Amino acid sequence: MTDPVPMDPDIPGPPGLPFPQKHWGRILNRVKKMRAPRIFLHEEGLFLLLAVIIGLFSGLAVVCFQIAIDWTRIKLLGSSLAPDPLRVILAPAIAGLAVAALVIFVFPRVRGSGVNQTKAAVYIYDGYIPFSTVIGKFLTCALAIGSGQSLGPEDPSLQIGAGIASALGRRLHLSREKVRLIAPVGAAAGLAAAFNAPISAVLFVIEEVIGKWSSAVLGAIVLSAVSSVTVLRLFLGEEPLFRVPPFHLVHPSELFSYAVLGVIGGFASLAFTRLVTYLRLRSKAMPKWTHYVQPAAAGLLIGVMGIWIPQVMGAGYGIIDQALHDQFTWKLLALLAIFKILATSLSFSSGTPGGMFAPALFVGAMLGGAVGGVEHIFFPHLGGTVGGFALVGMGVLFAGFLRVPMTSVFMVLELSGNYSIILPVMVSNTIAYLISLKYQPVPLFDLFSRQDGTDLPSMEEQRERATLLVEDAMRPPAEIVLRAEDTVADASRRVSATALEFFLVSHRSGDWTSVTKEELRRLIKEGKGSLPLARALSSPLLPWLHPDQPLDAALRQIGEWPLLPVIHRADFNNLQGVVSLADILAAYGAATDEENRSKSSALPPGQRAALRPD
Amino acid sequence: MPPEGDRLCPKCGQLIPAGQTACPVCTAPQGFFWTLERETLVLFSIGLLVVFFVVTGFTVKRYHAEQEALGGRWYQRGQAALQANRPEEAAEDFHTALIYSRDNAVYEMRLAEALVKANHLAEAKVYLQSLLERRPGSGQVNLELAHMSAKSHNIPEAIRYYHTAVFGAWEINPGAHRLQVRLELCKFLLEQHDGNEAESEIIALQTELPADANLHAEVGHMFMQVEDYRRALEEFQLALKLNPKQPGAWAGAGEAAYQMSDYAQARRYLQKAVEVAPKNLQAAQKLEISRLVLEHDPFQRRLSQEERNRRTIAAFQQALSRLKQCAQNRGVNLQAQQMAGPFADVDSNVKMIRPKVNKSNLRRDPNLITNVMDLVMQMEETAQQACGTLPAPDQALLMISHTRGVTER
Repeated sequence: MTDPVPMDPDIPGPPGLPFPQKHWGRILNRVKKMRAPRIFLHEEGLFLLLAVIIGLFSGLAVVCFQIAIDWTRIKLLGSSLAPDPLRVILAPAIAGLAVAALVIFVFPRVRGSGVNQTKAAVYIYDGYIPFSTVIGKFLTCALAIGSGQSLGPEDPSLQIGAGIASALGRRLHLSREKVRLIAPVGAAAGLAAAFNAPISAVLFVIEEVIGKWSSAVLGAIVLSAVSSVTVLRLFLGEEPLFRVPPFHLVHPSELFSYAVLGVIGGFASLAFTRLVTYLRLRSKAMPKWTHYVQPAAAGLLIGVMGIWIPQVMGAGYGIIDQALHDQFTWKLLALLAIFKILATSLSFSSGTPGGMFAPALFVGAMLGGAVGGVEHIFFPHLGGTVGGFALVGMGVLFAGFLRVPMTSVFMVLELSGNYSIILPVMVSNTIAYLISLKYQPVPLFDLFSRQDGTDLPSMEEQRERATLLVEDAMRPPAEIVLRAEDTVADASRRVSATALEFFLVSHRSGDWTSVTKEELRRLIKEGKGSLPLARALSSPLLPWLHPDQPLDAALRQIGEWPLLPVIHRADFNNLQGVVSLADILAAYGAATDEENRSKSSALPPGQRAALRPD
Repeated sequence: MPPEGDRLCPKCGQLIPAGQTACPVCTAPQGFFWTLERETLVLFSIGLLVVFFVVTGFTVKRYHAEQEALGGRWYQRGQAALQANRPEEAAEDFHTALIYSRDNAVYEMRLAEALVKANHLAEAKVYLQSLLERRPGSGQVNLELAHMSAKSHNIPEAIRYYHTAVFGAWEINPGAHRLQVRLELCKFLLEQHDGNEAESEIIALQTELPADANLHAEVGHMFMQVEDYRRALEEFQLALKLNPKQPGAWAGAGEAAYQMSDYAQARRYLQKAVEVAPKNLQAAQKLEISRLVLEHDPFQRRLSQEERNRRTIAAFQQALSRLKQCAQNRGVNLQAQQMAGPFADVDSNVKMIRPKVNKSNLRRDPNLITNVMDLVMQMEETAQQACGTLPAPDQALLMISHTRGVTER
């Protein structure tokens, strides 16, 4: 450590200020001149250190956020599982008014779930998330969720983490590229702390926000997620989000029930997505003055529901826990799933800030429990626990509704800590995901972003889009392929009959060059007709391609060449085809047309309207 | 949503008022923090982190304290409801308590107990298995699982859990808990009429009993149920030694002695039992029978031959009188030549033996006493079969006949 700069009595405070302010000014000047030791040799090191700091800050913020939600709930609704009816009706409605005022007048960017805002920060605003969003998200979500609005704290936690990361990245003058990357690092930290599940958080951010396994950020994301979960566990304990009962697959035939759960979960995800996007579009289209009362109206409706079914209020973790422990009949579980879909759609579409993760888990757990209960009635000999079904159901909705299949599997594994659940989870989640993908081509978060007038990159579309290969664009080999041993005169004779101008030359070594008719004529004129092409030509080697390479590689390599050879991977002299720039562009054009055709045919008529931005 | 005419800055998201082109925030002069060195800022961040840690620490501490207090309050409510035999209400209170103190094994245990009592067995099982997974050797958890299995009529599983509970770990007062569980297991086995298993458990329990009159009396009653009268008598005697006023122990000891055909001892204990509890009719009846047995048993030791013969003749006459009365009640004529049913056999024997039953014959042939008493037993059994419960004197004769060998010893 180098010593700080010694006190400089000559540095004056701002002129004309009273003594205390002058004194303060001098202190600031000295701080500015302070030099901490140069510990960061390069930005990569700083980025990793920053990831840990972001993780710690995010963990602390999420701890405070969770406490704030719980305190708000106890103060507004009381500590009982069945709160007083008057409170149940009034608390979410009045809190809704306060939330609307805060969102409209103070924190206009806190509407919605937080996932899309983080994506927008990455892809539109160069990683910029104003710190006021962090504060706004914290306050409004704590008030909304604590008062009983049917929303969850995970997506807001994700955005709080991303906001903290963005603020730190900017303050530390990171490069534009790093600032853009640092928001997902914070997002992973926030989500990991909210879920108390670092693997799921890392996977979610990669699957939904970044969209690719980038080594540039993977290390930082993991570090931040681990740091934030460590902080959370330090303060709130080691226990997982839910107390998961022991699970074991009683008989392989039970997988059939899990397949049924996958089908039901897939269609429930569809219904949930359609309802929430439809209501959101309608509420956005309502007159402007209604935006001041929409959260209150949603709160009132949820409160009325809550008198009969208090379980649908709030994030519902306690209720999920009860479902995992087989505390409800299958009929009540099914009812809870339906009403939770309704309540969450109302809350979210009203513009109340809050997340969709917890409601998705809730609906999934209830549906799973209901299927498990029905199985017990019709197939009592199978004897699988209802808790096991509820647990798998959570993953089903994650796969079908949020459309994150990888995260959904690992989330259930991480929450249960039981590997034997992997088979049911994979069966159910895959079925639900495929059903949702088939009937709902545009994922939920992409629908939201398009409703908001932005076109954020769809990670699912990126995953699902078929990669064009060289073989999709290549043509059969040209009629005439010259050999490097041919003499110039022979080669000229061979090409004279054809109208083509450009010819590939194959070398024994496996290299490829090219020659034009014009060039051959010139060489004969120069008296080099008897020379083999290998000696006579001085053209550079041609880059070559293989049929299974991505078409992007062809585009990068083709440069000014009129043609490139496409050769066999095991026999470099075996010409499989040729590809030109026109071929490449034609292949891209055909693929785009095909994609547009399939998209428009897959979208139901109502959804096209939902996709139109305001 | 910005007001009409205004728009949001695409960079920082702040409002750009209508008519302005530049964002007032983005174009404002850079603040103090923007001018600091990167390393200094990192150090500042770490300092801020420390402050945030401390503040969060205090907040969390207070939060946990409040949660614990809330959990405790709901737990107390649940306990009260459980004690008032309102298990449904108790279960809900314990559920609420667990929200505020999630991993509290005591709350979970009480919840499971309430759920078992409220007959929510599937839910209780989930909680108990989860507890068992965390504390596989816990006596309390195994005991509740035993209760649950017993309610589900899964007897072998219940017995297995009871055994694990007996040998399981108990945090407070393990000896007393183990004793209680074994006692409960014994009662359970007796309810299931599994006598052999129950007897071995009661014997094991007997060895662990402390000096407690109530417990000894209770175990004595258990031995009575498995018909181990000798051990039952020992237990009742121990109970009486510890507390001579132990209710039920006198009667129990009397009953055990009576069943062992030790009528002298039975009379002593039953006499005391009737004195302590005059309304104990059963004890009074057994006392009467014991007294009659002792008064009429011709096989008793230290009797003169004269007295033995007298008692034999008296017994024969008593049995014959009872048989006649019974036959009369049933409308059977013992004088008739053609008789059917149980009376026919006994009547032929009576006709054969009756002329021999007199003092001189009995004096001449001491073995005749045995033959006469065999006939007495046959007569009394026939009367009992035909006419139901016998009066006390006849019951006493039946006892004498049945337990002849014992009393002789």
